This record gives sequence, C-alpha cells and structure tokens, in this order.
Amino acid sequence: MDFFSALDLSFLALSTVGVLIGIIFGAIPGMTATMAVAVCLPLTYALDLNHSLALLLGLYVGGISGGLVPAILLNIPGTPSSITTTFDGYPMTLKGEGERALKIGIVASLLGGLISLLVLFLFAPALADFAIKFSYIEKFLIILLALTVIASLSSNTLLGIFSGVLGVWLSLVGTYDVSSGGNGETRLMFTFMESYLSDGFSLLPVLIGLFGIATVLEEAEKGVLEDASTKSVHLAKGAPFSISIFAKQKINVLRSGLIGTFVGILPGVGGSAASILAYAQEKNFSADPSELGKGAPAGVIASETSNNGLTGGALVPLLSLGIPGDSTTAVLIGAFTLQGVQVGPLFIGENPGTWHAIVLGLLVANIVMFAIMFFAIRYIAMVVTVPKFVLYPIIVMMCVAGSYAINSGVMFDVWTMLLFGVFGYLAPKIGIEIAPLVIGFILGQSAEVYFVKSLESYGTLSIFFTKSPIAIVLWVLIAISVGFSIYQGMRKKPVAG
Amino acid sequence: MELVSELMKVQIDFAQSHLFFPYLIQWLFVLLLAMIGYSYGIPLVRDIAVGRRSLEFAEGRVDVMRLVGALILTVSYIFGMEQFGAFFPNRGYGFLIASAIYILFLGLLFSHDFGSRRLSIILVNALVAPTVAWFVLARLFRITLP
Repeated sequence: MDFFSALDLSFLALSTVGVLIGIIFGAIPGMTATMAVAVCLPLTYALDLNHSLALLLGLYVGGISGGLVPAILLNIPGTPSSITTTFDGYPMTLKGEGERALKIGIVASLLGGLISLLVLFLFAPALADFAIKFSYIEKFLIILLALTVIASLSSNTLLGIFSGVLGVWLSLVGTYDVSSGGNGETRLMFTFMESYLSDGFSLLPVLIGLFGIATVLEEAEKGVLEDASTKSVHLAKGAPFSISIFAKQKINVLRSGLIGTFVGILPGVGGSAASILAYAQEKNFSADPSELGKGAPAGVIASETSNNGLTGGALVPLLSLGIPGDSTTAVLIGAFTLQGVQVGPLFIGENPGTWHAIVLGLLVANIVMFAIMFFAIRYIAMVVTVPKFVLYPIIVMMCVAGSYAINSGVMFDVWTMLLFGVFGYLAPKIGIEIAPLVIGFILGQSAEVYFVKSLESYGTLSIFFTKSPIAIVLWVLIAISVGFSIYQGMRKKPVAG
Repeated sequence: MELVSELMKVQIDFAQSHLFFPYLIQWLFVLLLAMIGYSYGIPLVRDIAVGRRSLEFAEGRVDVMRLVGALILTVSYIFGMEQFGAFFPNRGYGFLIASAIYILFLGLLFSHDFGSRRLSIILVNALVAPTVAWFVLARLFRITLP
C-alpha cells in the first residue's frame, strides 16, 4: 500500500533511536524535547526528508513522554509538560506504587499520542484544502492571528507581543530576497557585516542557541547542582499495574487527549498549558476531587494523556498553514528548510509521500515509545541518574557541530548559535518570552512578503479589511484573542481597598 | 469616508521597498517600548526608589564562576576549533581535538567533587564522547567539520 511505502527498516531504526534519545532528554530535568530536536536536527543533514522525520518525530514523542519518569519518581518534572504529573505521580511513589504510576503514565501517553494523531490525520488535510484559497492578505492575517494568540496566552501579553515583534525584526536582518519579489537590497546591518549576514541569521543556529546553549547557561548559573535524590533510584513493586484502570477513565482519557490536541493546535502554546488545563478539568469533573493530589491515577492519566496529545495537534497548523504549533514544531521547520521543502497549505497535496511518512512516523514513535518505556521501565528510570557534568559538555559539543555543519561549514553560524544562546539565557530575565520570539522569527519574512506584496498589488491598507469574508473572520478572531488578553490582564490586577 | 480611504492609500517605491516593513516594525517597537515603560518601567523605578523591590539578576544565588567559566570556555572552544582546524582542513580533527579539551575542562568546571572516580569519568568522557561524535558525524554521515 502507498501509505506504508515509507516504512522500511531504516525508518523503524531511526524512529527507535529518536524515541530512545528523546526519552533520555525528556527524563533529565532541565532538558526538553525541543532541545533534543534542536541538537539532533543537524544529523538529518545526511538523511532524506522521510527518514529525517522518523528520527525527529521519535525525538519529539520520546522527549515529551520521558518527562514523566523524574516527575513520578523524584517529584521533579523532566519537561514543563510533566509538572502536573508530579501532583499525583510522586505521591503514588511515596505509597510504594512508583512502577504502577510509571506504567499508567506510559499507557496514558500512548493513548494521548494516538488521539492527537487521529485528529491530525483527519483535520490537517481539510484545513490545508481550505487554506489553499487564501491570498497573501489572508496569509498575512493568519500570521498576525498566530502572533496575537501566542501573546495573549503568554504570562505577560505586552511582553509577549514585544517578543514576537522582536522575533520578526530579527528575521528581517539581511537581504530583501529577490526570489520573494524583493529588490535584493540589504537592511538592518552595518556595511561590514554584509558578507556574513546577507542571508540573515540562519534559522537552525538561532534555534540551537536559544534552546540548547541557553539551557546549559541557565544550569551553569544555578551551579550545575547534583540533586542528591538522583544518585540512586529505587522502583518499589507495590500494587501491580492493571489495564482495567483505564476502563474507568475513558472519559478522562478522551477529554484530556482532545484538550492536549486542541492546545497543540494553538500556535506557540506548550505542553504545560495542555496538562494544567486537562488536570484542572479532571478535578472539576471528578466524582471525588479531594483524591486528586494525593496519588490518584486519574491525575497522572489526565496529565500524561494531554501532554502527549499535544504532539499531533501541534503538527496541524504546521503542516496545513506553515505556522508551528509549539516550540518543538518550530524547530521541526528547520528539518523541512534543510531539505528545501516549504510547509504550508500546499504541502500535503504536493508531498503525499512525506505526509504519509509523518503520520506513520508519529504512529511508529508512539508504539516504540510505549514498548521501550513499558517493558524497560526499570532501566529507563536509571536515566535520571546520568550526571550533568557528563551530559552538558556533550550537548554543547553537539550544538557546535550542528551549527557548523548546517550550511556546510560556516563558522559564523557557530558564533550565531553562541550569540543567541547568550541572548536566550538573558532574555527571560528582562521578561522577553522565547516562544513568541521564535515564532515571530520564523514567520517574519513571510509576513513581510505577504504584507508588502498585498500593498503593492492593491495600493491601500483597507484591502486587509475588505478583501474577503475570510479576512473579516480572521479579524474577528484577532479581536477575540486581543480581547481575551486584555480580560486576563484585568483579572490579574489586584482588587482596590 | 473619502478622507479615510485617502489616508489608507499606500504607494511603495520598489527601490526602497526593502525598508518599508522594517520601518513599520521599528515604529511598532518604539510604541511597545513606550507602553512597557509606562506600564512596568515607571512602577518598577518607583518601587526600587522606595525600597519595595530590588533588581536581581536571578532568583537565588548565581554561581558566577561556573557561568562565566562556561562562557569563556565555550568562546575559547569555538575559537580554538577554528585554529586547530586550519592545520587539518575539513578532516574534523580540529573539532575532535578542541572538543576533547573542552569537554575535559567543562566537565571539571561543572563537577562539585574531584575524587579519583569522578576525575576518571570526566577524562573518559572527554576522550570517548568527541571520538564517537567525530566518527558518527564526519565518517558515517560525512558531515563537514573543522
């Protein structure tokens, strides 16, 4: 069958390797799935697109899933999306049910991943077909909508918008590309920098720096402390795992999986939002909400189903609109860029083989993740004891190698990686948010082309409001997103008196 | 209405079109900075002046030695890789030698204990990890390294 044509031994092997490395990254606190994908992305240079995606999607799924290990065993979330897993997972460990909690989390992760994969499979092509009708005006408004959504869901809306605009500004450094209809002139740089920056900042070194080097610098700031509890991990047998627990949690699984998928579809929103929302909903709908937070399996199920539900959801806007659903899919754009493929409304129609490879890659990654984690959980649990003084130097080495190799040996890219690594480390200290910045950076040049070309064709700003009913709907959504952020801002203000 | 539609009209000179969008973005920056300054900057300065808040670089103690040391080592690593690589162009030996030295020193910097077992782990890591990376990247995947 055509659908399975991408499935060969090397596809399976790469997916397995990706899942394994991803689990390791996810299981070590401070390291994330995004970091795993960013650091390993340059390895795909030597692979074709389908096999690259097998590796990267394995890293994505493994990275998200791996976070449950320290969350349950040590009360330390391996990734931000596992924060709520600690609420019930760790109490279960204290009751001697660590292995049971891990297995519940693993099964929940599988179910969440499969639910979001189904939504991706059904929804992305339909959305892409609809988006093909978009002119430059609607495409510009979609990007504007994405940036306002990210900003409105940031911890600080104004700084979220500023971060997104900063990302757009950084993306404009370089030449106004002739192939996009530009005039080939350089801007936003000094003349002596033209030989280095005529093509702008290269995407992958920027991402590797922001997500790889910045994390290492943050750890160095904290002193690279070795948590005493990571020196040894003991898995008590306790009550045995039984699949029947899921029979009583069908609604929880479905609701949490769909919450994770929907949150994944929203651009720039990460797994922590998905799991917090799903956990809160489980608490609202639970027959006995007082049990949550004391070691209730339902809490682990809600958290892990939703954070893995994010994976397929985040790919929906990426593949159908070219807009990344979260930071990790933002880095995945790098994989497509490396292979010279553009994601957007035409992607699925023009690349059916790659589309099938993505669906297969996610399916295989979820199954492999389940197999590795479920049956080798005692060995996986030992990953949390890998010392940071061994790991972090290796990570920096991989970041450097990757940045150098991306454009076939350009040292400036390595310096770019370091520059953005330092920037990524300092930026949160002054309130700049990295997710909106990255998405602004990725979409900035496209936003410019759509905006300027629309004005050159129609000669008036009013066309952005009057072109079509789709444009009006998009403006309504933008207004809702801005209104929501203002409402959130007003709710956070302290009551007077 | 006619006045509004006149105000909405835009003509872009192609020769200067590379500056149009950046110009808009820069004005948006100025506006946002003004809003941030008004909303957060002024209250912050006021709170600092009356002693209600203080500017802190980070929450908790900052390990200056490890932070600055990591930065200095990383800059030296990148610079050194280029220099070593000049002796053996495109063979990846510059990467291999510089990485081994870097991993050794960064491992020592990040470690809190210098017993013989710990030192052995750091040394083995400094020898094995770059060698494996060099072999996989430069030999297996044929990726260009300095």
